[in-house]
Amino acid sequence: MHREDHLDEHLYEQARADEFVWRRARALGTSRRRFLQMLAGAGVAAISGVALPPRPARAAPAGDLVLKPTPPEFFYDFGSNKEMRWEGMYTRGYVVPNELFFVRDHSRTARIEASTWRLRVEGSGVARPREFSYAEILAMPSVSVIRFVECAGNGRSFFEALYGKRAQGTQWKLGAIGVAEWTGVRLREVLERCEVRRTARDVMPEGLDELKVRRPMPIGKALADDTLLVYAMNGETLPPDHGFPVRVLVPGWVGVANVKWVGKIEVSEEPLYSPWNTESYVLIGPDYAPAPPAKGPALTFQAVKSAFELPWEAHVPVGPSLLRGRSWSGQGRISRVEVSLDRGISWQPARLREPNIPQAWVRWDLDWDARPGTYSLRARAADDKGHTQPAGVPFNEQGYLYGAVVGHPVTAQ
Amino acid sequence: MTRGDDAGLRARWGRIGRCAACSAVLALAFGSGAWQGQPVLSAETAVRITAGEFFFAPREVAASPGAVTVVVRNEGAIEHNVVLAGTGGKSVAEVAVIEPGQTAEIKTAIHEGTYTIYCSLPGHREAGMVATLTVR
Repeated sequence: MHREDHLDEHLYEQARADEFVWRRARALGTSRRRFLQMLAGAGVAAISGVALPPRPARAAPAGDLVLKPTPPEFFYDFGSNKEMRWEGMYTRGYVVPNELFFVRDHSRTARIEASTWRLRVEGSGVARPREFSYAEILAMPSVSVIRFVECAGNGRSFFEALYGKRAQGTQWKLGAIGVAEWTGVRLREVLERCEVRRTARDVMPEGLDELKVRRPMPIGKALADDTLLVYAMNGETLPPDHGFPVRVLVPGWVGVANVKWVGKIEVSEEPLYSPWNTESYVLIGPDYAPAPPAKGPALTFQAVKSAFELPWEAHVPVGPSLLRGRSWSGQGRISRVEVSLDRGISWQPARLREPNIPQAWVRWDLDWDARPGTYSLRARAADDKGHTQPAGVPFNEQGYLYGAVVGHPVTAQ
Repeated sequence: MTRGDDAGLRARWGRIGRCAACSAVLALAFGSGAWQGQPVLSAETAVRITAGEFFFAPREVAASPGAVTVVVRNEGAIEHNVVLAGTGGKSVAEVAVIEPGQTAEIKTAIHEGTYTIYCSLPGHREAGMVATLTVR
């Protein structure tokens, strides 16, 4: 498969899955069909090839899950996850300030000392495996890009409203997203210093957090101009809650790919799998077929979404006002945003405000002369690649990619 | 998927936390009340498990065939959930989210066999949140 093809996710996923199954079946001396049957009855160990030792029973004190202050006027509190309240952005600029940026920790914020931190790059895909210190990373050519980072489950709570059943995981509304200016070094630069092979297929960063979050991406994505190892956020040293000392930025992809507190990067000539792209962050549901060795199609790019910069269940005064919101897409630049004030019966175009950066977002606004009553305001966007927001999306058990139009409850009085 | 399809799906899934009709049961099963304050269950059918970062305790539980209630209390600091899976990993019943301090119940009828109880949130099963329910 050519390297350019690795950016076509459907082609790439199918090719790598086929290769993985074939290699494992051959290694076990069994048929492809028999190996798939074995996978269906096994769990994580079959994927990783190792037995997992039990961990000691230990409860975390709730107070130290996240380090930065997350006051209730700016965040919804989900323990180790903190959702941004959209009304906090009404008077802000393009990027989300670090103190308002949502937090998604799979366990808790890792505390890493920069002086002892090392990044290990290894695997069959590099001729010269080596370690990098924090100072070495900082000394490399610096790049800054403005992109969003968004949890794959952003909007998950709306599955329950649509289907009457709750999807697994944090019940976010639409505030598990933020846009920032990310500064760091190109991942490509680091891989080249390790003499990445032309035969390299997959690149899997691994976090130093309690759960060792790790999820592969194709070499084509890893070598992209804007795939970075980030050490600064909005002009400040990367905060601990956002991955200090170094995190990965994988533009347009689901949040979990943007591994925080990265400590190791495996580069492989063979397809890589982990529970993070076989058990979790895959689409499981009646509309999605299993994709062995994964339980369903693995997530990559984010869907198109839109949000109003209003409190949830907002109360606005009767009379003229300026509605504001933002729309974004994982695969392109937003080209059109429409707003409905009458529950989707009629739609009118919103004004788009520059800048409009692909894989970040666009701000938009609309004049509204609100009459007394209750409303379900709706916004829908389209990107320049033809992706839109439908009225509904199929249910999936883990509640990912809720890209459907959301009704925002508002009362004018 | 249409709403009609979904209604059929819901009918097949006898799960707590899956439909509006279960909200009354949820109100009893969930909450910040003391462990001792939970609904009284017969000793023959109740299996009690504690969840935390990142474990289920005990890791081995047993029950008799028939109606079984699995009671899971989240004593950890972060969200967890519980999935009861039969042979081949097929989900029998589940609770999507258990907030810290909350208790959830799965009520289901099961046959003899070995079942897996696990947390399906990303990375939690791998980190140790798995237990075995033996029914005989």
